[in-house]
Order: sequence, then structure tokens, then C-alpha cells
Amino acid sequence: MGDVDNYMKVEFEGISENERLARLLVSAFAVAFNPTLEELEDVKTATSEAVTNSIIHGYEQLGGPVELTLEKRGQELFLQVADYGVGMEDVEKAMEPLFTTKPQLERSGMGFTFMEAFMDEVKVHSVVGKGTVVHMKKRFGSIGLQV
Amino acid sequence: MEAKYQVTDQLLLIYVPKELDHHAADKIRRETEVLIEERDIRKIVFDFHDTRFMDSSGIGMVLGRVKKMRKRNGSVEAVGVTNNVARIFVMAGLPSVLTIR
Repeated sequence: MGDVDNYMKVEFEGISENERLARLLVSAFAVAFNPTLEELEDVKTATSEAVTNSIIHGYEQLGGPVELTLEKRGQELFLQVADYGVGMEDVEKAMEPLFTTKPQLERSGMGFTFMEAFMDEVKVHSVVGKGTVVHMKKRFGSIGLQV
Repeated sequence: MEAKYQVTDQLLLIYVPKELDHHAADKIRRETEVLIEERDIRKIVFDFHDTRFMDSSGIGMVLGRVKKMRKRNGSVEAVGVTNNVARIFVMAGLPSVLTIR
């Protein structure tokens, strides 16, 4: 893991209006990687999924602080989304494709699947009653290519 | 940008906004609920021409409308699906449950 070239830490209210804000922040930060359009879409989608999870599941749509932390280490982006919501008892189960605890809200159960598909690494730490942190990593550009 | 709706007989045309995330998806779900019942809608067409972003919340909303139309013996179509939206569509297996033109 390389040194931190740049970082950003933002806290915002966990309401659906801010899903777009989170995507904009990540897009702006990721410009430094000189990303392809597809890479940019990847991180935007993954961010949107994690933040939406905090809003709907973590805070059950009642609001609360969501922390977005971004770090640039060389060509790698470390992205972290944290909430202090209800947490998850069974993270493995939650990460299964199509699994959702809120089918009545028409949740597709594909949030974690998309995060895993679009990012190089996804790790989830959750404590019931304390909250959830999603750590993600994305490597920009071809492997081994130094820009 | 907000979603716009157009009803012609029993057809509901939904102009999907630029970004279809949880916020926009919830709004469309709420706003079409009454329309579908009151106007006895049998076919929904999602127009994605302006849409540049979509995540799993959008998938959930589209699938919800597919289920609803199935119950009413209706159908759902999507038009104007471009690159990034198409990628999400395919990953979620949507081409097998609705017509994409």
C-alpha cells in the first residue's frame, strides 16, 4: 500500500437527496486518477450503492450521519462509507446476490453485488446497534502501468 | 431533473430522469402508483433517452413495475437504453424480463 497522495473526508445527512451529492464528490475526487468513463461510472455506482444502504438499512430512512472518506494512493482509490445505524447481524447473508430484508421497498438485493463487480475490493464491518463501514478499493489504469 | 409521465389510453410512458438512483426511483414508484390504478394502465414504457446513471435501486423499481404489469396482464418496455444503463440492465438480467428497444 503506497503513501497517501490526497484525501477527503466528508460527513453528510443520510437522506436520499445526498446520494447524488456523494456521487458528485467521488467523481470530483477521482478526476486526479485521469479515469476512463467506465472507471468513473464504476466508482459512482459503488458509492451510490453503499450510501443508499446506509440511508435505507442503516438509518431506516430516518436520517443520521454518513461519512464518506476518500484516499488516493498512487493509482489506487480507497473509498469508505460509514454510518452509525442499526448494523447487520449477518454480513455474509446481506452480501448474497438478490438477498434483501426490504422487498416491500422494491429493493433488488443487488447493492453489494454491484459494489463487488465494480470495485477491486469490498470489505464490510458491521456491529449490530453500532453501525456499518464499507471499505472499497479501486485501481485505475492498466495493472503495472505507471502514469 | 424530475421524471415526467404521459398517459395515452392504457399506456403509461415514463420519461426517466438523468439519474435513476434510490431518490428518483422512490419518487417514480410513488407517483405512478395512483396513475396505474386510476387510469387502468396495461402497458408501461420507460424512456431512458436522457438517463446517464442507474444503480440497483433503479433495477428494483423497474422490476417492481414489471411485477405490477404482470398481475394486470400487461407488459413493460424500455427504450433509449444507452451504454452505462445498458451495462446495469444486463448485469441485473433485465433483458430476460422486459422488452428493450
